[in-house]
Amino acid sequence: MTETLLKVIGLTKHFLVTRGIILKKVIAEIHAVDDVSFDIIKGQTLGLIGESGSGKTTIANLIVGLLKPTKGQIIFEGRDLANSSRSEFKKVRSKIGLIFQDPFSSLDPRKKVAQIIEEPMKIHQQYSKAERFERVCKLLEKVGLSSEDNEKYPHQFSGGQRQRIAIARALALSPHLIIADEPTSALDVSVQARIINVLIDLQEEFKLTYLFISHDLSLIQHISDIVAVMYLGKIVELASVSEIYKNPLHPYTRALMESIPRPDPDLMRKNPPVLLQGEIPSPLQPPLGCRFHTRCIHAKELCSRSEPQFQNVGSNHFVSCHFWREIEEKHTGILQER
Amino acid sequence: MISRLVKKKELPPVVYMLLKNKGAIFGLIFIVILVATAIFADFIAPYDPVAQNIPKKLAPPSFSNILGCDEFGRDVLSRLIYGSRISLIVGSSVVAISAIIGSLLGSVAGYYGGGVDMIIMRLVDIFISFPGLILAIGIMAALGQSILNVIIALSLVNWPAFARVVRAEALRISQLEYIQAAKVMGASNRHIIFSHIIPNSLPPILVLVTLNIGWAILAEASLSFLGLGVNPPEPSWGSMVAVGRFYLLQAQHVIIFPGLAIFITVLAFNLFGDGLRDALDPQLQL
Amino acid sequence: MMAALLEVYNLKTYFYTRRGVVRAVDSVSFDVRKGEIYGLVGESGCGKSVTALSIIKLIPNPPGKIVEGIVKLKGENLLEKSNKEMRSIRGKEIAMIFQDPLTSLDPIMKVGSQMLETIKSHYDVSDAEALTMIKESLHSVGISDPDVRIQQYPFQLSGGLRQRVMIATALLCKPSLLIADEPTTNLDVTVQAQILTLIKNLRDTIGTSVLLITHNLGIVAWLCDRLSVMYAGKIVEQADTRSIFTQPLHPYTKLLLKAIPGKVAFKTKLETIEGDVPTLVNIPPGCRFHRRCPYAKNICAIEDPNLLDFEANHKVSCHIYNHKHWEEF
Repeated sequence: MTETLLKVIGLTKHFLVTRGIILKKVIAEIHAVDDVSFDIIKGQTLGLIGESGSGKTTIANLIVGLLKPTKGQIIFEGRDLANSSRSEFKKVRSKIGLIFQDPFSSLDPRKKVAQIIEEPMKIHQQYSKAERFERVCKLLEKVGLSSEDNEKYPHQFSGGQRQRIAIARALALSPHLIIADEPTSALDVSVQARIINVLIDLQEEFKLTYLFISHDLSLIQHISDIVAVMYLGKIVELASVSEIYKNPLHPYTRALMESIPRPDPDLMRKNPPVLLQGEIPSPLQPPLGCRFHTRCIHAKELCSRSEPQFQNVGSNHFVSCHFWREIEEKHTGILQER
Repeated sequence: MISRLVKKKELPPVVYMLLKNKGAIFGLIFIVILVATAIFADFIAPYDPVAQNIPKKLAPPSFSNILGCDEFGRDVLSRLIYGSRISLIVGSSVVAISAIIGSLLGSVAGYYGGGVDMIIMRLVDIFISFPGLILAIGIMAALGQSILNVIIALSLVNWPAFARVVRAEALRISQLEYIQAAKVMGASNRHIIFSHIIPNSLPPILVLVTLNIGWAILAEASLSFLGLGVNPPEPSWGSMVAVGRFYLLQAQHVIIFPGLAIFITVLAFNLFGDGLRDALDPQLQL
Repeated sequence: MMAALLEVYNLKTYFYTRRGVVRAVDSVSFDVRKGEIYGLVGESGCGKSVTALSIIKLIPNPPGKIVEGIVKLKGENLLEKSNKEMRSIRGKEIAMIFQDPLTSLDPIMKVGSQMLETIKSHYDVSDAEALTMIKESLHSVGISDPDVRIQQYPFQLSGGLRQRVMIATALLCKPSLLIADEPTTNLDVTVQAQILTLIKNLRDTIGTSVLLITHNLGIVAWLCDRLSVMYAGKIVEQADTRSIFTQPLHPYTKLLLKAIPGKVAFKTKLETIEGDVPTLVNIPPGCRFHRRCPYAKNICAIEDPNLLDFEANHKVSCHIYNHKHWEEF
């Protein structure tokens, strides 16, 4: 039984850059997220990958209500969050948890671990004091820490341990959806492995659904069911993880894959990273037509004029590129070693 | 010696840094003595501070009056001891009130930003644009002379200092991810300010509090010196200095001892405050 | 056999804090040959950055101190040089680039002015000659419009451009050794590929030797000729790149390689290393990795293994490979 937990339709967020305080004049508009749509099925992990300026963090902030969308719908368990009132949203908040990137600034340094983890419970006034304490201890153990750690302060823990405290906090109200925004980017590889394992275990035990945001394609490939690739505010490709890996259709997806150095010296000598020319354009002035065309080696005249459609090209593999078919034909065979 | 004590048990780094600072230790010891003096004044003072004894008028220090007598024969030492109460009461009240008002307004300004911030900061600007003592004198002239009004006047002069410091902290803290986490949880702005922003602003607030008490005591002494502070015959260090001016040639002890009291007290608070600031700062780097 | 440009022998850098002595670098030895890209690899706290700073003697003193060791650049021991002598070496013979170009470049100086300052502190040239050198350098790092960039401030540039400017500044005086401390950690993946290709090309064309410090094993596999794996202030394995990846000897190296996510794995769990990095204060005796090592035996808690040859050009510091202790394993 596949139930859609989160459905995002046409999500758009434009930031207005203004001048002046009383008489505000709009001098520029940042297209952080533009017409993004995707579904996440209950129990699955959607991996959202993109570089800076892609809008991936903005999407996380929109879903949890830190930002209000300019346009679009965010349908969570049947309810449209984008058009809910504050009190309606508050009820839903307890069902969505968020894990931040920086374990050193996402925990209040002046609070004990117990206070940090129970804060959501206190705010939503669920559970009595004794029940809260019991839950705190259980959650600490679930993330691989000791229940005695509840009396300590964040600075007494390492980065990886703090991130586990953050995970425990995200689980405090038994959420259905957890959004992890680059949860391991600030951690070492061996520490990252432990955090990932904790997340995998928790997903299985509590039937959680994850929206996992990262810039690390290898990591996304490891833990996602579905992968969405973002560039400059738009999703350029969306498919199951094996599809993306076997058959990346969008030139940007390919460029990402080919840019990553792999821990295999022989492979690196034979297939050194292929360079993507230029820099990411500013979201203040995204290129006209296809946003990627300024850096795309396959770009044709059409690409600078018209934005490609985000279309389903078979077995739920979506891509937005005018020439995906031609490019696919050219590339069959090169990526098989990777 | 202290380092041996420290190595035995794990002292929190702040306390350790403070203990290493000799100036801060001196300051702290003196403050403790001062507070004890104020509390136990009834037991320590040898004489009634307002009891006149004209035959002993302007008597120099002797065995019966260690610090001598003033122009009405009142014992200077007793007056100093009771005067410490005024200084401490006014000092701590002013700082407490301005800290509370200033911290609240500052954190609201820094957290909300925008129009709220602008309004509060303009208010700060208005108060700051007057030289402190002149503003206090003006307020006292309007309100009338009493200890309570001294406290009110000095608090109104002093709160902007706290507002600015706390606003800066609030601005910095509001960017941190644990504030975002609280918002995501559904915390109200009020909860965020009282539970997260203000507690995390405490280090600079504490430093300012200690340094400020010295200022408040000096300000009260100045107002009393100008005749705007406490009413006679209540002893206040400032008014004692004021009166002492007239007897500078005949009886220096009448002005020296209260002046010394003010000086050492402010010095003690400043030394302690400096030490506290140093102890809290490197801590942030560790 | 290529000549050694940089020889580090038995380097020890300690930090004296009130909690005790932190042995950040505890007897580290390696050498970088001319025209080579050498990797110092490890996770946070392993001492790789401190090693780099020790080489150019930029360790803050107090609380840090280079307690022992020899660091020879072209045969001369840098640790014996005075501050004045080091100042003329830094930037000229050895240049260093850091992780965050935003904080390493002066935000209130235009790019051109900063580069001019560097040139003038080492060479006595006219402004016009300096300008030529600057433009040449910017061009060599792939900046297509040097006239524009010279007039800009660091904040006006993107992360990738800033890092290129850093590299260009580092190359102004044509150093023989470039130390790059996590130069691409803060950059996007596609930009990272550009910068690293640039560094590789510099080595290929001008022959600059590079000491590359990183925790990213993919980068190491691509760029480095030889490398040292560091853990808790010591080198645990040292070999050419290929040998490390195809035949990792030290348990830490093996586990580290297994912890990297690398393929489509449908949420299978990764191999992890139990426990945490030990604190470098008051280090207990024995091997620093033994508490987390799945192969640890009694000897590991008693004796700290030395870095010994296992094969030609492959050193490891682990008792497993020491025939004296074979009965234990």
